[in-house]
Amino acid sequence: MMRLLSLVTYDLRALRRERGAVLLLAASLLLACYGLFEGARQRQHVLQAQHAAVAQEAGARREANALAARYFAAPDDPRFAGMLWYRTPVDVRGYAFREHVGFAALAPLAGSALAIGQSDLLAPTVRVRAESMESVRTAAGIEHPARLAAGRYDLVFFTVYLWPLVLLSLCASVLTQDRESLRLRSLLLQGAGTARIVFAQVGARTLLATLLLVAVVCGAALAGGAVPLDERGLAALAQWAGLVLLYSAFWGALAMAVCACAADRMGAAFAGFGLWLLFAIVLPGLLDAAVRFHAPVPPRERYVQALRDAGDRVAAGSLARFYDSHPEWKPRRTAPGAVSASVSRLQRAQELDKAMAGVDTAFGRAEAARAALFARLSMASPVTLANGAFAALAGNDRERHARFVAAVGVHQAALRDWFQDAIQRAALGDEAAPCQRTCLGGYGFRDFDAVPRFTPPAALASPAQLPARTWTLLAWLAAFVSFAGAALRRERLRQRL
Amino acid sequence: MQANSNAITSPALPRVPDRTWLRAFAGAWQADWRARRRDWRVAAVLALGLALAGCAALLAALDLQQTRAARAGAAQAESQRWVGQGSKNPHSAAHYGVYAFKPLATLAALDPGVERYVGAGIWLEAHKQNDMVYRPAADTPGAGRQFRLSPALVLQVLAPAAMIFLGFGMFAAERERGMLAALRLSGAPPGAIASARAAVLLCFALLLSVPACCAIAAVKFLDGGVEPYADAGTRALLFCAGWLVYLVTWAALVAAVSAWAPTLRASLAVLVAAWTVFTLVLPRAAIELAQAAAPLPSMQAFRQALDEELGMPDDPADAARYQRRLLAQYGASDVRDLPVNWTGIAQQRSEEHGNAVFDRHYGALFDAMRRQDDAMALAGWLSPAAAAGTLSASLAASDTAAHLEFVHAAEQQRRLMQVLLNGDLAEHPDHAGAKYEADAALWRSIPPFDFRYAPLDWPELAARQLLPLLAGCTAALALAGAMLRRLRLGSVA
Repeated sequence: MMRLLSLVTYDLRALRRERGAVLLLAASLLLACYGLFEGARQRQHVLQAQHAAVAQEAGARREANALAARYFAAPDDPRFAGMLWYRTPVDVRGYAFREHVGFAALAPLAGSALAIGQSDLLAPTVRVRAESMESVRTAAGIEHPARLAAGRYDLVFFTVYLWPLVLLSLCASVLTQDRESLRLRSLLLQGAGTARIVFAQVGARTLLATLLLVAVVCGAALAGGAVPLDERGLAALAQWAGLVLLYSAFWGALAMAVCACAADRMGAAFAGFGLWLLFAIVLPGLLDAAVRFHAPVPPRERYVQALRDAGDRVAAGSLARFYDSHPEWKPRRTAPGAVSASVSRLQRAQELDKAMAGVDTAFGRAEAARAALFARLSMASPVTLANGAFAALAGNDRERHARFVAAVGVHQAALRDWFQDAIQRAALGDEAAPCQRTCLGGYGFRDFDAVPRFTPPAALASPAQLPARTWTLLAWLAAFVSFAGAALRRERLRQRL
Repeated sequence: MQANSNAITSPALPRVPDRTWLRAFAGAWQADWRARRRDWRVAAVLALGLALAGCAALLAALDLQQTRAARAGAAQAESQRWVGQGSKNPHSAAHYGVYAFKPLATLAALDPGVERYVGAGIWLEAHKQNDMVYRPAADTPGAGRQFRLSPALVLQVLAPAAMIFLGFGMFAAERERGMLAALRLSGAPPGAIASARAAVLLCFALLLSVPACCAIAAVKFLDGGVEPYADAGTRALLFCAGWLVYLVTWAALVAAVSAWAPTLRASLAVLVAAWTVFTLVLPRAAIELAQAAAPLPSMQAFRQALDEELGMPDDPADAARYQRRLLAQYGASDVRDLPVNWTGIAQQRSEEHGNAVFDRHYGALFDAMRRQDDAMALAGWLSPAAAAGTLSASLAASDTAAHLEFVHAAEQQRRLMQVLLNGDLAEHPDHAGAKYEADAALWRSIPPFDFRYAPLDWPELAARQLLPLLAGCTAALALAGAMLRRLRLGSVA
């Protein structure tokens, strides 16, 4: 043990004296901090937009309440002479279809600055309309398209793609330098086996460099406010640090295999870069290709056409069936064909949803099949696994967003039912006592505070869990360590012969 | 370990000064080519590269075929739907609207640019300038946003990596093995040797583009399809030339670093560092930093400001004045007595009010995006990969500028539709309380949306994309020249 410790100490001292290694580490830490800065900036944008959405919603409700108080106190006031029912919140129809302001927001988790993930592509703040989920399904933030297409520079980009290059550069000289300088034999004579040298030195270099990265990033994240200094923030940082250590350990194992096989430093650098290219770009590329080949998703143009076809099919004829199902809302005197379009609008939207159910299911099934295949195949690509795991820990992954959209769907259905009830009762009231202008008892509306608001399920706010498949990285790690061990054993046997 | 370490650098050449360079070039080419043909590592790198390029090409061709077929089918269905919508009030038809789909150029299959991130279609309806919806990227699983396999990725990222693998020992190997003196004694100009070896590298890199060219040519031959621009030939030529210049830049860089580096390891380390910075870090960092040039609002803030302004109806006093003037012109006392339909006139006035609001808000937004584009283009002066990527997407009409051009054209079509529909409505007053209904003749009279991209803007293309790329190439060539001079005159150690 003491011999191992002195071996590691000697190696780290020698590494510290190498100016190139120190500069490389310093440059990489700067790049990591820049990645963190971009993540923090994205988190800030998301938070600002969500605060603004909350303020807009509250402001709209406040103004609507004030307007309702003024209007219902004196509806004949000349100020309201030009009021259009479809453009005012005091008419339930105008409020439901135009003036109602309701947002649903996916609050960022404590560690969201550690990975931008899909938070720039899948809108975390959506406006919910009573009529349909269309505004949610097609919601998008404003981003420069080139920024989305190029891939973001964030801490994940640094950790997943650039950090392995740094580790491989730091480890390329382990054993290979000793072989090159013919010092290896004397080291072996002192009782230090090649396997011990490789595992101890690569392990120590990887661990030390990674701990440095973790310490700098955690310090910068807490000091800069990118991650809140509370229990959740610290837990997020701890999870992130654990994942970085696991991922670095994988690359350390790969470096061990490289150093065990390479004859000199040049060979190790060549093989290291080649393997990096294979794991970082080629394998994920092939994975993407396989998923696109084997689990195609129908083009969205077909969805648009199906939506249009369904819109054409949905006829007012179905209104009679609707009133048969809801006799409490059935007009006393008005025939279903003569019901105002604004009264039957939500029923048409529901019919459209029913007509689209098959298409939605087909698209959903295709997407689920693609996601399942991707998840299965991602175990063959450590970089893809790490990418997904970092995004999941930050809460900016597609799965969490899908859960958010599902929760919004439940809220939207409740909102639509609420407005349906309000509009149908208003229509009955207006039929019983027709009113030229918007008035209470008819379409007049002032229950703004009773309109359902989105409350995110508690599960969405709970700390993220590492996807189970991430542990496949351990299998990869073990495979490379075994390979390195086997290569060194073979070399030893060859030397004996 | 480097692929050409065993190459015979140059055969003995007769001293004929004016032909020396060419003969040295030919000799070095033959020697390098022969050595590489025998090297299994070259075969391995090329086999892997070609497999990837083949995959990328196949996917690009399938995507192109599928997307074009889907958009053509959807556009045709929309056109039939519009004409066959039956008799109805023109304003109802304006609300019924049509979807417009963005045409896809063949080159966009090679370089998809922003295509997957900007949506497939846009709904043109009354009163609203809608955004494009259904972004294909939103249907992609996982977090795989980086390095999506495409022919452009192969050329921009992987081909230079392959060139580094195969070329980092171009001169460094000879220096390390102490063969530099022998190289000098051969009398062959280092420039000729470097050019020959770089040309071999270039051929290998170009080989990676062959699958994409074949696949796209096959799709084009089988499916045909009209290109959405008139200058398709010029664009295709420039597209090829741009990538060629980019790869020449890398060949020169590899030669320069290999001639400069004291050891093979140093040569590999510097080239890998340059590749990492030029192809991975700078293009992304530049795009992130460009946000500072013109920050974009959040969607919530943008929509709130737009809705607030749209919510204010057209100036009622002005509308009343206009109505009075119209009544006086026709000698009528009530709008119902007018020989024109006031609803149509009011709708068009409302559209014009909305158009001005849209121009103000979307104009500012798109202007900010253009300023960010300008800032991003500056990265081309620092990174040849950024310059080549921007040029390629611009020529393929898959960049942000082309997207904004389409959005603008679609909006113009929407406004034209509203003018024609409201104009027809204005000409036909309601009779005896019955609302006017138009028929297929009016729907047919609306010109179909036939979008074509504007021809290349040469001054802008030169200033923003060609010059940085050419400057990078010239700098790399100059660096290679300087390093080769140093190789010829400097120490052999």
